[in-house]
Amino acid sequence: MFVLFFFSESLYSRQNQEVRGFISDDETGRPVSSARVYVDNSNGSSTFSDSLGFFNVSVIAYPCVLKIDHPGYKSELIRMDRPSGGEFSVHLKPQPYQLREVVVTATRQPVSMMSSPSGVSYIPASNLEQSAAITLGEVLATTPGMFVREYGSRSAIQTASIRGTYSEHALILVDGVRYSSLQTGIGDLGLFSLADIDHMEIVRGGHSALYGSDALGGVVNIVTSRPAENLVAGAEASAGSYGYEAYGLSLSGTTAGFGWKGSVRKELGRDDYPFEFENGSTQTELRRTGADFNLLFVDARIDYGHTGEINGSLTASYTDADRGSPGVVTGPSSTGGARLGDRIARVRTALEFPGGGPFTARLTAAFSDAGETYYDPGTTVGGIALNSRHSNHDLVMNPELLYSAATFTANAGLEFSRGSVQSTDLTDAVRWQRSIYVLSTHSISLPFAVPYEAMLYPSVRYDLFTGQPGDISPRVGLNIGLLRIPETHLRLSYAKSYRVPTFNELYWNPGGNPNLLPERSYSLDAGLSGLLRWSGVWTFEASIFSINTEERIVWSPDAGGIWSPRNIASALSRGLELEGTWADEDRVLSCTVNSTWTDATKTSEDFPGDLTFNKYLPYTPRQTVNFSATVRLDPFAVTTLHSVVSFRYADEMNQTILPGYSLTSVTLRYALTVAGANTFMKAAVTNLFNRSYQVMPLYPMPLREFRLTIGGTL
Amino acid sequence: MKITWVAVCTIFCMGCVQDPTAPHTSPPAESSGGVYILNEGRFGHGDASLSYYDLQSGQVSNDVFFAVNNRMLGDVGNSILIRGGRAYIVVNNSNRIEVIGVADNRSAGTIDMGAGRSPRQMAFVNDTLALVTNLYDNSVIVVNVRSMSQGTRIPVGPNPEGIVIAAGKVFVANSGLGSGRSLSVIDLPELSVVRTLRVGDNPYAIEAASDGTLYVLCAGSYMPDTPAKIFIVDPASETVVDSVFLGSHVFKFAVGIAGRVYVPVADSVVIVDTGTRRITGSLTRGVAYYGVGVDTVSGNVYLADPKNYVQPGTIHVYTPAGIQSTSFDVGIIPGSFAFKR
Repeated sequence: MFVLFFFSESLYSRQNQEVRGFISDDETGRPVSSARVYVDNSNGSSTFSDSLGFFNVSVIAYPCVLKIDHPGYKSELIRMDRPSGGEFSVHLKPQPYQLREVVVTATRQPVSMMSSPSGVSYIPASNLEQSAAITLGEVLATTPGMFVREYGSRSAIQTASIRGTYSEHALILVDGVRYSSLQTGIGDLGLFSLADIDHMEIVRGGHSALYGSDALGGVVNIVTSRPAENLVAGAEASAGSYGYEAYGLSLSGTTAGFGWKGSVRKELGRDDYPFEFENGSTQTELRRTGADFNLLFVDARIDYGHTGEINGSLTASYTDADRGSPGVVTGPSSTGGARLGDRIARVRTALEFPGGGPFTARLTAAFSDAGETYYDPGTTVGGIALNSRHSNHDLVMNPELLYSAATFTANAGLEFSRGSVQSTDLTDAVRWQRSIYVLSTHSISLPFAVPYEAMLYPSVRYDLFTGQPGDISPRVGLNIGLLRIPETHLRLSYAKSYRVPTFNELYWNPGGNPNLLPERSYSLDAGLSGLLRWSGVWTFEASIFSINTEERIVWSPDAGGIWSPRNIASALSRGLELEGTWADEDRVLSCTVNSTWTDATKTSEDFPGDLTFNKYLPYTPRQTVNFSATVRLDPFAVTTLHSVVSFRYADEMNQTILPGYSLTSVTLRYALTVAGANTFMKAAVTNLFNRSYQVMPLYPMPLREFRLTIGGTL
Repeated sequence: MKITWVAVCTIFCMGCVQDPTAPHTSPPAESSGGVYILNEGRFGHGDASLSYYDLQSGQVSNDVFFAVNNRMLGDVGNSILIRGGRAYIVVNNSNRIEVIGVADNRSAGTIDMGAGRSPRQMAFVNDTLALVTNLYDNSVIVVNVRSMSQGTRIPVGPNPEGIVIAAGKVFVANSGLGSGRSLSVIDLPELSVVRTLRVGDNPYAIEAASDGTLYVLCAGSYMPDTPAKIFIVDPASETVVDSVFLGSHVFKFAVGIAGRVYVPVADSVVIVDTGTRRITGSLTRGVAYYGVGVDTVSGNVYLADPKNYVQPGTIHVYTPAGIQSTSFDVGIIPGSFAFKR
């Protein structure tokens, strides 16, 4: 650690002196946000470092001891005999193990993964660098409790299903702002670029108490990257099987206190891969047709920070996707020529006012304009090809006040939104949302050696949507520090969550049901996590979960034969997640293995004698296993990932089966610094053993694929 | 270290859930008289199936196509017709017609209609030629059932569904997926549309009654919401001679014996008398049936209860007197019947 003090004698005599500083990572030099800074022995205030690493605390009397805690770093104690003038810098040393990552999605306050009240996964950008994946779905699928429904390769829709719940029960956020569609309730994971992601946080279990509607199964928060401190220009290009091409350019830097960046990425391909079409004993090799894609991602961001006064960021993104959507394959003549077009523009601004004391005020405002077209020349209505157009607008304002003291933090926030839909298939609708939430964290040191600490996480949220009854979503969370060595934590949370009906369910023409009520769920999550340093660093995590969903919305024909949704079903999902990691001290070799067992069953009878009662829900694997290993021998790094997905039932009666599959991918990355430029080359093989498989019924997936990427930053 | 890792991996992968074996279905016994029930299956799931009810033994065999031919029928089994010892099964979303011998249910061939056609209903001109309506191709296509090949394509009105041959002409119901209001009339020798006849909203199914008139079921449009009606058409003069108000939206009906037409309307099965052309009563109430068929030898009425559209449906058999004689479970979404007598 290296601390710089700037002394100023003239200020020495003043009391309630303000101390300002900047905290950075000792290894990377990047600012460290969310570090807790406080003056020991109640001799001053406490605060968290802001998103640019700056902090302000006031000191009552000197000498004093300033404490800086961050779950990802070794704590620092700074003794100050007299006031310092100006800012001083603190360089924190990172803790050399996993589970040290700080997540905000689980509690809306920074907390280490070990101290979270619910099951959490953290995917850093370095994992994406080493991954053979080209879609977000492929990356998320490797985390515990997650099953990604894939309807083809890069061109296809992908949706997340967490802990045996449906895709509309996984709330997708980008930088904390809702991304999931108001119209369908689903976040299409196929519409993301992996290039602009800093890290991802996945929290499992019901989280409506923090995020409102849709967070029944869990929340995926995609955190985009920040501008660089120095001027960085990046470029990369990829080529691969079936016409895959990708090009990316990025520029980032800081000018006059403003951090800025911009990037553009294009991905295109034919996805006309061969696949084995099986029907009974008949096996035919067919080729996927009409699945080409052309994707454009444009992102821009400006960050502004002024110590202790205001931090702000403005992000804008635009996605333009044109994708073939050939649908199910039931024979040589069943492929369609439909196309799916998406144009999504999003703007988000976040302002943070640190205020100097324990209070911080935040204001987040976001607007999205999502347009989608579905054109199918093979489906004609009255002689005219089907050409559905949907336009969704979503405006959100989220003011929030944060309080942080040494052993207590609290958030109180409001959320207002206006969502609207205009569509060729729906009645036009506008829906307002008014929400309020309060949550806190309490850290209690216990007077025992075992357990030594308890963290309490109570939270409650109230949401009111136009035309819907209000919903109160409470959560109680607990994390107990059991042992210091090996570090072991127990966690428990119980939450009530809900999902407000989507625009499709309310307003589809014909059949939409404006009288629908929200779905409600009760979820329990209990887990044990541990960390052991012995021949490297071991981490272990085990969770059991249960999600009981009531008033589930199911579409079925009414007496007049029109398909219409009703609140008729309930489901119970229970399971076990295990994850273990190991890395040697120098992180030359690191391994992760996880496995999830899920039992999701329908617990309601549609009528007496309903044969689907107590049967497993379709498309939910009973077990998934992921094993990955990485060897880093500079300048080379090799990663292999092996994933196993068990069989899924393809029907509510549990009579038809989609076979299980296992997939292996290998990535070789070679990084070299040439004349100040960091260059890399990455070669990847997916589906190494050329397996024929389907994730969802009748949507064939590609056989073995190769991809090569070269790129660099200057 | 290695041993530890092997142990960890063993624990994680131990008892990896294996694929269960597919349920076993035994092939049906041969019989001379029976009823085929075509189960539509769930759209996009490729699980259409064929059931067979043997009239002599009362035995029900499900999934008979798969049992004999070891492959699935396909996606959305829309209609079934028996002609000349063969059953013709129109598999809508797989764009094909599966042909089986009714003696052994063995596949006699497949007529591929081509991507994007969406075949729906079939009518026979003679033992060699049949006509198939194609929902998204806005056409009737002539198929040769001997060579299993396609012939002339006849453009008709929007989204054709039902088709019937009467008075030397072909009548096609142009549904327009709810917005249609016409029948296309095709003269048989020329095989081209000669006239268009205006009927009610969303003409869907069409059958010839015993008195020679055509019963055209107009399901009613969705936007605006208009009620279902039957339009009665004289095929010779091509004029609408009467109509019967049904209400709700109705997609299936069947012509029975003794001047009766059975129509499932909402949760009752109403009887239309072909003499008075009025609803004279109902056969049964309480279930929203998805399909109806009549055995013209016994006069028994076969009603298809789709339950919740995701599990095996049930067939209820009623005598013309309205007494339930039997019931049995079949496949998912039973919708069409063909009687082998």
